[in-house]
Amino acid sequence: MNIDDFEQGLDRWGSDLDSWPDPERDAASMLVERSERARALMVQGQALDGWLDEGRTHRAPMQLKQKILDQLPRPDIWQRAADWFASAFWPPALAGACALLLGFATGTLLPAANEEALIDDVAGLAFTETYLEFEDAP
Amino acid sequence: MVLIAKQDHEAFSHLLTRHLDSIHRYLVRLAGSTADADELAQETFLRVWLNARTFEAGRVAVTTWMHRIAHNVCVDELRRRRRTTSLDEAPEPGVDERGVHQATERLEHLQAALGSLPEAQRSAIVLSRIQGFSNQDAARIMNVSVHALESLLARARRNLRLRLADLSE
Repeated sequence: MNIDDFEQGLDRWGSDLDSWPDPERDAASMLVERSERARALMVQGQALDGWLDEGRTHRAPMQLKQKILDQLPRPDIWQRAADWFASAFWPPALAGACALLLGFATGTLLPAANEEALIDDVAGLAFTETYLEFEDAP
Repeated sequence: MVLIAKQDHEAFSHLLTRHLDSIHRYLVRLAGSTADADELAQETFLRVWLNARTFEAGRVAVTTWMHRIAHNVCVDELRRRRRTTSLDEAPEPGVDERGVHQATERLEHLQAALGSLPEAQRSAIVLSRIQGFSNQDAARIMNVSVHALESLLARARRNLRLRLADLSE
């Protein structure tokens, strides 16, 4: 490995030799031991990494979160209605409502039964000695 | 994201608490000023709110998706400014006069050095080295191949290293 290769490696993999691929790492270690120029480049690379690490410490301004929340558009009522209709709750509720409506409609539209005739029928069944009709039965 | 797609403000507030610092840091490093980053962050999160329905869980991480939006917002803005501002009027890249007193000298130097990089190199080094994305995710955010990203990273590191060496002398 020559100095140019080493410099390219620094740019490609950074100053931490542990993150270099195996063959290049060993060659780079040897070069750093014997070359002052390689050591200077290594120091430069480490400084850059330290510099970039400092860039990681950052906080957004305190008031920015509230500013962002304040700028959100107001909820669209039609969109909310569409969401509600599309929700999982809606299909079973619709099915239940339809069944209920059908029940009411059927009850309302069918002719009312003659209650007196119905009572006579029930009384007849309850109190007539119907077994007489089957006297001839074995 | 499902709740945010249904316009749940509380869920969005949680998302902001979790990701605002990271997105803002990316925008500061890319745009070069805190004031610009504030505006771009507002636009970014507005787009997140409006486009939450398009997020496909399992395909990309939420943070990758949001960084992609932030990247597009910022790059669009930088290109728009480049079109509308003549070279004579263009401000020194990366220098934030309003925020100079807020930052340490080293961070100012970092910001100035980042600002001197071409836009693609700057995005690549910030996403990979400061935001901590893998090369694959950084490439996805920038919409380039991993190979192209690695090339951008190497050039960015070299330019920054030389810039840092200049500053040290």
